[in-house]
Amino acid sequence: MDKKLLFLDCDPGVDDAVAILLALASPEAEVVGVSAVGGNVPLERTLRNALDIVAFAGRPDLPVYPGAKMPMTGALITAEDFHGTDGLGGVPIPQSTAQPQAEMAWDAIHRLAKANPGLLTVVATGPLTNLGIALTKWPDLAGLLKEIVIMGGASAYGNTTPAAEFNFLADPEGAEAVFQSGASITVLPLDVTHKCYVNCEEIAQLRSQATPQANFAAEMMDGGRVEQCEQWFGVSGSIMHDPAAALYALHPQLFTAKTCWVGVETGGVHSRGKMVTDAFTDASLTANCRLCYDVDRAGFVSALLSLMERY
Amino acid sequence: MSKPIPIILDGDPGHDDAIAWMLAASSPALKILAVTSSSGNQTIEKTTDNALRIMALLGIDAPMAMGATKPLISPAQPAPSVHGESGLDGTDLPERAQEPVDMPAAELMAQVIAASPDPVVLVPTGPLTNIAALLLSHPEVKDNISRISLMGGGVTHGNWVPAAEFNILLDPEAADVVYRSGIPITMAGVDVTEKAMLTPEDFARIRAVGGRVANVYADLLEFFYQFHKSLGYPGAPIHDGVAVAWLLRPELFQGVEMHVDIETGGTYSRGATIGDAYHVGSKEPNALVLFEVDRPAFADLFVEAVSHWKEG
Repeated sequence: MDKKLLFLDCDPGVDDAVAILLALASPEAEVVGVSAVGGNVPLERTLRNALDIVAFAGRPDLPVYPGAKMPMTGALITAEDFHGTDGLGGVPIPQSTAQPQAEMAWDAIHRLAKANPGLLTVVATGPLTNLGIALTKWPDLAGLLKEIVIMGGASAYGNTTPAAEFNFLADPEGAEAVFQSGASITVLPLDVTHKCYVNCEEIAQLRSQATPQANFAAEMMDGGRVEQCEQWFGVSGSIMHDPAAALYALHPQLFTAKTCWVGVETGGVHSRGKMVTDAFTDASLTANCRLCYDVDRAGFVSALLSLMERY
Repeated sequence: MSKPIPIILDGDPGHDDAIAWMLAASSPALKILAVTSSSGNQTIEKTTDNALRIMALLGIDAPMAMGATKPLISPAQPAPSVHGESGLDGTDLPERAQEPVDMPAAELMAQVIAASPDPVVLVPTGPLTNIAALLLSHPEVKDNISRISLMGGGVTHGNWVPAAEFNILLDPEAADVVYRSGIPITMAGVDVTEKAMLTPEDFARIRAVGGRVANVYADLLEFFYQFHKSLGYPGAPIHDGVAVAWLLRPELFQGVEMHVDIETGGTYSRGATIGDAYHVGSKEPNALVLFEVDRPAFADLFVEAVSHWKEG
């Protein structure tokens, strides 16, 4: 069987870092590029982190593309309180000497999609600025991609404002541009990512693999994050938002999804960045995506551990 | 037995309003001080006529006033697909036995609240236009309103449009006034009301009670169920009934105190009730948001209530 072609568009970010390690470990996937966007921390950090993480995963050759510094409109919103000023929670990682590509994220995604029509899946785990720009600049892109897998949004409660999840709040216009682009989309909102957690025992199992990569990933999950997730969200482990998107791209059968309509609110007094969906309502609009709302958590953790085992 | 709770029924009957009001009228634990109509499920003329006919059927002895013709800033948007052309299709109701008083709903509410020796609970089961008009025109009566037990909204999802439930969607500005009023709110939103169903077996139990009231309510339930059946519900969700049932039997429900904001703008979100379940905002809770109901016990309440009018 041919390998799945993946492109990772991200803002590392502690859980982005784990998502990159997982995707690069998979024997079933070929990651053809990584791009960074300003998000959890500013672009210069997310870009540097992306370069360091791919090298740490044993792929210093993998092209890393710069993306947008700022959301489409409005100010940059970051999340240093969760990710630390370095974006990796202060966990040290070897510095790579690799440099980013000169080509911008939106052009690279289009070029790679055109070279592999109908085969490329973009896994987007940061604000959707790069993809929003790509789909607007290149009208043929929506039809060239196999799928866009998005971590973002929440059908009920936001984690950054009462209405909005971080990635969608950080660039509501970018997110809305992607959802209304006509591309084939699967979204993993907080509805499902809050079920994709690793508990202390599982983090210890990961640590016992004793590779530098496993230790690094375990540090990303640990360091007070288990307590934080319990206290803030009532979730009994470290929430793996972005790894959920990576694992969906690799093993979609672990997830339960609903075909539905999603829009992202760009206005409003309280609702900017809110993911709005008809998935759980009497209303029925023209579907534009699949929305994951449940996961086989045991299968998720086991897939995560066996991918990390390959390092 | 403790003193009955004085309440004001404000609704847009409407099948589930009529069912909620029957529950209220049946109980010695509640005293209905006034009834007011709102523009919502049907035009204000139709909901007013329906309100008067229901009062005649149930023998509700209270003054009745007609409410606002339309929401604060939006046009009226009746819902004949759910409630029929009359707003209460599917049965024969008696003629009205009284006329509305010659004053607006907000004025009647202000007068009965001011005159009540005990704090009053408002029970709005339609758009919140009249309640907003009351709070804006008579802020001095707020202190004698102990709670607003309302049907409206949904913090996990909408119903009429993806982001919003019908009552809040029709008049988001009024809802915003109510939610920012500082009066404690019990919010029976679609989070709980879609689970508060009466099934065809329950309709049969109600009809089996016998007599005119039982037959009218069995008819209303059967009509109301047809719309919901087409959406795949196994019964008729008695949305408005929750606002009354919680007053009588709060132990049948589970809820969470949280802050709820009303969205009045936006492209998709107008009318959304934004609940701060994760405490990421900085505002104190303003509502008890209901999520779970003991459905069989909820259904039994209505069967028992109808027996209040059993003949012979």
